[in-house]
Amino acid sequence: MKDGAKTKNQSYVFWGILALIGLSFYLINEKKNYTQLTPPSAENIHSSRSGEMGTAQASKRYSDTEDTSGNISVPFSRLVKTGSVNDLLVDPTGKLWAATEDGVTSIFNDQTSHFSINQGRFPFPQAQSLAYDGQQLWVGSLFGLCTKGSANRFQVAENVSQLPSLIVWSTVWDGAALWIGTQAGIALRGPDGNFQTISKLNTNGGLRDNWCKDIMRIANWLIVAHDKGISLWNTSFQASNPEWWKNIDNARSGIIRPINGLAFDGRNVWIATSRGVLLLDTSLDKFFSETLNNLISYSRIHGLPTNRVNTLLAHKGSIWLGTEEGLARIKDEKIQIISDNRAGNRPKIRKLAASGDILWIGSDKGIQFINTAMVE
Amino acid sequence: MISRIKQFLRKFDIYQLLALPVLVIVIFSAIDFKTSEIVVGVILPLSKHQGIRVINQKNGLMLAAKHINRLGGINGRKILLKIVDNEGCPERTAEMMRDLIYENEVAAVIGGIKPDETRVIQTMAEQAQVPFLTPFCTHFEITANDARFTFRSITDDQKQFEALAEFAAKRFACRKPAIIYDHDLYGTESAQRFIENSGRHGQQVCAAVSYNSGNMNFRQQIESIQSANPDSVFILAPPADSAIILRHLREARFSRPVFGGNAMATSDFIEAAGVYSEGVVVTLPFNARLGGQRSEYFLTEYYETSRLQADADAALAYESLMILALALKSSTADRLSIATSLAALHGWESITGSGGFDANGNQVRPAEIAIIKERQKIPANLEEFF
Repeated sequence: MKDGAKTKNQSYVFWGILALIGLSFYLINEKKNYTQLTPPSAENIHSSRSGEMGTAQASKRYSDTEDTSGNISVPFSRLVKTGSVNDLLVDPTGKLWAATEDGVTSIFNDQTSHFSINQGRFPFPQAQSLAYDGQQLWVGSLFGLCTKGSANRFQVAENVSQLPSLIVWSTVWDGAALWIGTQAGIALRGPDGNFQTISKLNTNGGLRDNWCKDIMRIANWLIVAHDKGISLWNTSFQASNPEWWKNIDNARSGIIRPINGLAFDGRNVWIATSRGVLLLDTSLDKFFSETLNNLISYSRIHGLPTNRVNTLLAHKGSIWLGTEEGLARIKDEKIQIISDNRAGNRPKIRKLAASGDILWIGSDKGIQFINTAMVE
Repeated sequence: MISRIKQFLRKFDIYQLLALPVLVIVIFSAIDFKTSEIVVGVILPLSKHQGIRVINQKNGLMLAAKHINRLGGINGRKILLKIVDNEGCPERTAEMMRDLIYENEVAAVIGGIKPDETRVIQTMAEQAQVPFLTPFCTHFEITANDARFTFRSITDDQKQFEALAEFAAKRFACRKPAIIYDHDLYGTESAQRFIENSGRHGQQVCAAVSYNSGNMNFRQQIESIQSANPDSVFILAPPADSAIILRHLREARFSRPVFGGNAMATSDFIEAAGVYSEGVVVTLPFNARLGGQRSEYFLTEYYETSRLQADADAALAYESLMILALALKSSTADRLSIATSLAALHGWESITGSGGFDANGNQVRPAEIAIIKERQKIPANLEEFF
């Protein structure tokens, strides 16, 4: 009996020491994680870096618009937390797809699905761009190109070795073909599934630079934003003939690099830059008959929340701007800042997409939406 | 022996024995093996012919890492440099930067020499929110685009132009300069900035001619310049090209002052230009006198380590990692925190003298002027002693 009590006491001591050791290591680990995971406010960086810079762009004509800004407060939806968003796309079923720094996220009827390399459902560490060709979803990544397979996972696309570079910056479906902007030129996917390359070399300098960061298809034009400015190709004619390319040079037009996005409002091309938004004041039908350097600039001095505009979207007669300090829009030459009436912070918007009245907003923290009817 | 072990083990319950491996797992999960080092990515054109410059840049960074680690690292964690070769090409730069960010998971990146490759690094750094510090790229645009994660520790072209224009006006009473510039290192936008700066010092640029990289014969450009009859010439070009342009200018009997930026303060330029470099006015990216004892210690250590004389590239590389170390010390070593700490560095003392970042992450230190005499760069304020 006495031996039994002694053994029981020893057992308590043993378990007690074990629990203490375990607890202490757990607490040390928790403290470390807490320190690592508590991020400093991103606003600190921004507030200390947001000094207004000179806007000396002598070759440009500024808008005559005076400061006509007016703030509009509307409710933003709750934030769906994801990795920093690089692209958004709404497919024909109404499902939202987001390419993020962590992979791909889809949102449909309040159901959110994540596809990441850690889960084994996405082949790359990050996703860069999205395109839907009517049958399947294409995802560009800085590591290659993939498609969504039937087994609820993404797989590396066929013939990716034919791409000029595996660093994919943009993907566009124009209703007939898939266009892919890469670090080393543009790839065009033909009906046979093979890729053709369009580069500075094989266009004989028509395409001024190979780093095709953003591409856009309008009517018979391919518009490419790259490191030397913007190249426009009339796709009715051979790409190898530089005569069928028009170029807007950074230095001559005063466009500050990098170009962050392109949009088309039905008549004019809009360009998002880190020094505001530029409106190419040459309509589509006059691209070849007029010089293309007539740019109208909208920047902070005209009422934008900041000069750094990350993305643009033409929707319902407005140009919506995703900036480093929230959402804004340009309508009838007036700039309006649209803020969340429930939150003080303005999200750092990286991408916008629209579906009916819903405007999807992809930021560095996740995805939200607003009802644009409420803005009207 | 085995029976003794068996006897010993029989004293414990099966639960007590099973608890031991659980305890080991708890302890191991608490130790963060992965983050015992802070990995800093470095992108340099190692395999592209860059003369002694890249060697000095690499050596400078490695010496800084050695000094930091010898003093115990950053809050007990060693600095590990992950140095990669971009071959001086933007496509390769993008691949290297991608791998540093997503595969090596670096805390920050140092690099960027030519503007086109620096812009690639910057774009990817900004997207992935990775702090990026360039100690070599001087193109004004890099810190003129409201970037949040980009910092520059070298004095930019704009400040170099200001210093050169002011010196040219005061010392030589230059009123009618001409410029020749390349399209890669400087470009038309830098030339425009130069012209604006000159105007502020009462100068009217009478000729601005450009050339494409790879050009070896500049006689046509020099004829254009001479036909405008300038009272001085500013060369905005890489070191090797600058040396050829200068030689052609002097051979064409142009005897008036010639000016250049940091590129013409390199040993590559002085060696290539030879006697023609005499009297050329340049900006001086590194003046050891300004760093005092720190720079003396650095110069001695650098020579003992690499058997090479430290130049501006070595010093600026060394300084950049030391600046990053300063930021790391006051951060939690995650990327956002490092960027916040870097943005808060408004002043420091280093081997190159006093420095700091402005609101755009750009170096605030003004450019210093030197005159090349007998193949040595003599700071303008010490010229009378030589």
